[in-house]
Amino acid sequence: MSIHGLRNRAYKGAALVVLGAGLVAASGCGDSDSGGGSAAQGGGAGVTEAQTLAEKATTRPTSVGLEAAIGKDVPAGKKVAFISCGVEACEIQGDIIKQGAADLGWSASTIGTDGSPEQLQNAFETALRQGADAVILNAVNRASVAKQIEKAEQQGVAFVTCCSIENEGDGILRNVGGKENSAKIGENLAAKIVADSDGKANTLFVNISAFQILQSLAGQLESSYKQFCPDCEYGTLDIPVTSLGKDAPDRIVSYLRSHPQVNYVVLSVSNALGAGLPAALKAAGLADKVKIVGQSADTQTFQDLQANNITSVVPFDYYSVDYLMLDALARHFAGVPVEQANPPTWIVTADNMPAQATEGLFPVVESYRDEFKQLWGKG
Amino acid sequence: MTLTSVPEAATEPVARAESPPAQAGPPRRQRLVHGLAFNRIGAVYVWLGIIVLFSLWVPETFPNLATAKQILNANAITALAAMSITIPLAARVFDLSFAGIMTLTGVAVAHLIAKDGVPLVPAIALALAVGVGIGVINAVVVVVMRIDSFIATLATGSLIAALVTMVTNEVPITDAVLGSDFAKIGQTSVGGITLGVFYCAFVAIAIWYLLEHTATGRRLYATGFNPDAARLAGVNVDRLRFMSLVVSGTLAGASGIVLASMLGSGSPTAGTPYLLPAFAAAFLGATQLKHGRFNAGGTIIAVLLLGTGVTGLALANAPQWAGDMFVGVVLIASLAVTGLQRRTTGRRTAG
Repeated sequence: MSIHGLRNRAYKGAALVVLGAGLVAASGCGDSDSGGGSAAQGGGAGVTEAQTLAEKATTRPTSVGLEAAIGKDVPAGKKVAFISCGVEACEIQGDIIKQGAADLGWSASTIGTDGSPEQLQNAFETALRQGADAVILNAVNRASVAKQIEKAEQQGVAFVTCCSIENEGDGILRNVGGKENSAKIGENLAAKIVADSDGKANTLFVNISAFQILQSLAGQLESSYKQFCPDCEYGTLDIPVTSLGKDAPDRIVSYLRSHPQVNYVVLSVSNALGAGLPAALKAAGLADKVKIVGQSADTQTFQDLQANNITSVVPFDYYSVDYLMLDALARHFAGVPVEQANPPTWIVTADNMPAQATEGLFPVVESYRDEFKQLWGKG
Repeated sequence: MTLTSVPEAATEPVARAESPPAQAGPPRRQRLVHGLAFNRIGAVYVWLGIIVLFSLWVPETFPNLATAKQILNANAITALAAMSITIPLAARVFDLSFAGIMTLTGVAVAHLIAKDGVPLVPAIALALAVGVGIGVINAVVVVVMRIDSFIATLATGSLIAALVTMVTNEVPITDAVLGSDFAKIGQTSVGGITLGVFYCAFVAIAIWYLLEHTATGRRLYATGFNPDAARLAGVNVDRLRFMSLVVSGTLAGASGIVLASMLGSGSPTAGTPYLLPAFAAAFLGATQLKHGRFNAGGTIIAVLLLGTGVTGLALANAPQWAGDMFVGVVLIASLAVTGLQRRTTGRRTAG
């Protein structure tokens, strides 16, 4: 066979491979959701229940939820090492932890990482070598730093985390805002949607399943949603991490175009999934057809809220979470039982949004700092 | 023997040498067949095949104008990013820092407008100047310091990332002012098509013209194919490589500004996701139209092919892994074809 003939066969073969890949993907596909049907009729006892819960969740909390003061002197001079995971959320928390540590008469240092397991392990080892009395690492995956957690426990170094799916114990003193808190947010969002729609919602839940802490939110959201409104349609769309910041909006738009009855979109991580979404929806002519709610927000999310591109959002309360972690450490060092309070949740809308939300972080509980200082005997 | 008289018209002076008959080009039909050959525009046929496939698979949502607009709008930035690296790649220069430049100029323009109160046009000009400046730095490192472009731009990309973190502390720069006139740059749509698509079309035409219809374009390709031979032929290879990186920085900077406008903020991670898709599109595009040469038309075809596949799969509710698999398979197949093209071309030239 001539070179020309061989080349032509190769081209055609390549084209067949590509089309074949499309067919393989097609064979593996299935409608991963049940959404797309018509909206429900509305009303009912479930809707009333949702409205009550939504009204409560939309009221700004005035307390961090801790009642028992430590009642003993918290030892001063402790050194806290905060291991930053490298993303925006972790970078922000470093300053809050420093402030909280200072309120306790402690010092805090931040060890930066890029979030990779190797760097997290190194950072943990560094913290132990530097003589830290306590280590804070968010969203810990026990397996990736198991050796370091064990070492810390042996050395009497306290370790706390937040937003993790890991259970407390075996070296983890406290996991603030874990699965239980995530589930609470899911319930609140379900209530908000059903109440807002008066039981006529057709909802798409957009998730990032790579973030395992969201499983609790996803499960409770669906469960509560169906409880409040059994007739309301519900669907899910999973976005791979590789699509964040890239084609996530396009995937959401595609889903909405193929399910035109959807009128609510829940973003499991509003700041990650919402980047570029309002513009994409506007370009596709869908901006007025769906309402967006979600959890976790940054200043851009609040800008979108203010501009009515987003309906409501449950922000992550960095202040309560970080101070609750420090509270656990304070109680531990003071020799009293660690309290199990969850960070307060608040559904923020354009109507109740604090003025400073579009400029930077804000605490959900305005008096959080005074409250904690009083609990610690420092106020 | 007597000379018989001949008609006057026949007495043309014969001193004028008869020119040989003009070389006739291939007939039009042959040129058409050659132009539409699979080895030139195979990706177009694959793209058409994908369109047919999805039209049959999801007839309710795929085969309509809304889908076409969605594909164009969703891939405008990827196409702009791919365009920014097409010229240096034509000269066989890698610019891995373009994604960082996109992020940096987006952050810069957002900072200038939102934090420094700089008016819109000067802010854009300054941010663009940042992109040009980074391009110049890349060019100095690669051409003057003679550091391999792959490594050099990887290094400058890392420096840019550090600079972005220094400026933003990993927090997006947002403000209501970024949602007004600035947002119009990227979010305004004409007939349902965002302005980003039009910017991309303009850049593509400009690059096509440069590479196909100017001597500079010819010299760029000559530099890319064989820099030593090009240098011996009198081509200023260093200057071309230098300018290619400056152009790349400029275009990447412009892309970053458009992206920031579409996002309505200066995100410290905006450009990073475009690194691989842009290279994928550029390399896939090199297999089209120009037999292994990086070119604007091929890049656009590649972006549309990949974008159509990804959007089609999303409309068909394919699993989340399907889009990445599709892109990976297409890329491998196209690079395998490019390799075969180069080898058979080389053998034919040697033979």
